[in-house]
Amino acid sequence: METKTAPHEEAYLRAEITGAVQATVRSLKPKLRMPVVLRYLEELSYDEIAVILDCSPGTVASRLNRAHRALARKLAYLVSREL
Amino acid sequence: MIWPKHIKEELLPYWEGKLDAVGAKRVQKHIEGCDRCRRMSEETAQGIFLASHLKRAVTPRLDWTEIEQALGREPHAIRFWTWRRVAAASATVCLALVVCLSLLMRASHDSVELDSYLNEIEVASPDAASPSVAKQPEGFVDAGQDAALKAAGVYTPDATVINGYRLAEQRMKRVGKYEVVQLVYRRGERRLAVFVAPQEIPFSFGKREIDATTRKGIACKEVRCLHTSTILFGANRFHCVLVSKSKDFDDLAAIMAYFLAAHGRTNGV
Repeated sequence: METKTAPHEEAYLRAEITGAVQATVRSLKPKLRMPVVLRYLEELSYDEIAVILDCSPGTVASRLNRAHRALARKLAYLVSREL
Repeated sequence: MIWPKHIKEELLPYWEGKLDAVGAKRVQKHIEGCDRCRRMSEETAQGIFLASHLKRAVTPRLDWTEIEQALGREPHAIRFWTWRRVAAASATVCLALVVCLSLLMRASHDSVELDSYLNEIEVASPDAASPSVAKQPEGFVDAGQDAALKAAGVYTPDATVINGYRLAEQRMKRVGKYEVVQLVYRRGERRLAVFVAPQEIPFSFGKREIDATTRKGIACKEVRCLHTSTILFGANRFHCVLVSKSKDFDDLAAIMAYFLAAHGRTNGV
């Protein structure tokens, strides 16, 4: 049987995830944190981020990759609950 | 099965949908057979999913009816006075928003147009030491040295000589309640002009292309002009446009560094 989440409950869960993600992003090293902030909050392209951080787009991708995996590991408990 | 090469670098483009069909299929096939890359792939997907929550400004879509229903009460239970308070608070917030928006719109309408000024310099001969950089832009009037330096946020005695350049002319223009300053520096035949404005007033460059760049380690924006170096840089409360016929960036960077230091050096443009 499919369980349906009430809208307010879903909104609460999303807010909880957002709060946890924000806190975890803040705890990342600046080298990993900056690409995440520029990519997801400022919605910049890899090229634009590369110009700002004075590195190559490949380095941006590599740092984002590491940041994603760090987020996934630190917030594994949230992902298993959400998915 | 032995996989000759792991696909760590391709996981991000794979999950962002940037690989073509052949590349995506190759990655997928690799993941199916490689435990290490499958684990990394799962982490990458989960990381993207989590990070995407950053851009969601989560405002729970709740209204009083939903809350009441969730608590098993009737919506009518909310008192009339509570609604009046909510309405009064909403009206106050709306009023504050309207005031802020009107102030912001007013500020954003005020800009300093540099396009015609740059145009004239650009069409001048690049070989001749054209005095155009020092020309008087439209709307600017001659000002006293003290007043101009104070308005430009560089009110120190050493602002009159920077890196061998001596302050020769200064002009000001009022934009709204703010002053925009043009400081013309000279060193022999060389001239450069620095326009300084509070951050509230943007500089308008018409349709000219502006590229983010770094000059001698200083992050700035370069406005593409044919025969001049036009660089936009900024610090705490001010942003500045440096216009010069010189392409000597050591020289220009020294001037930029001076203004950044005087303005608090946060280097935001």
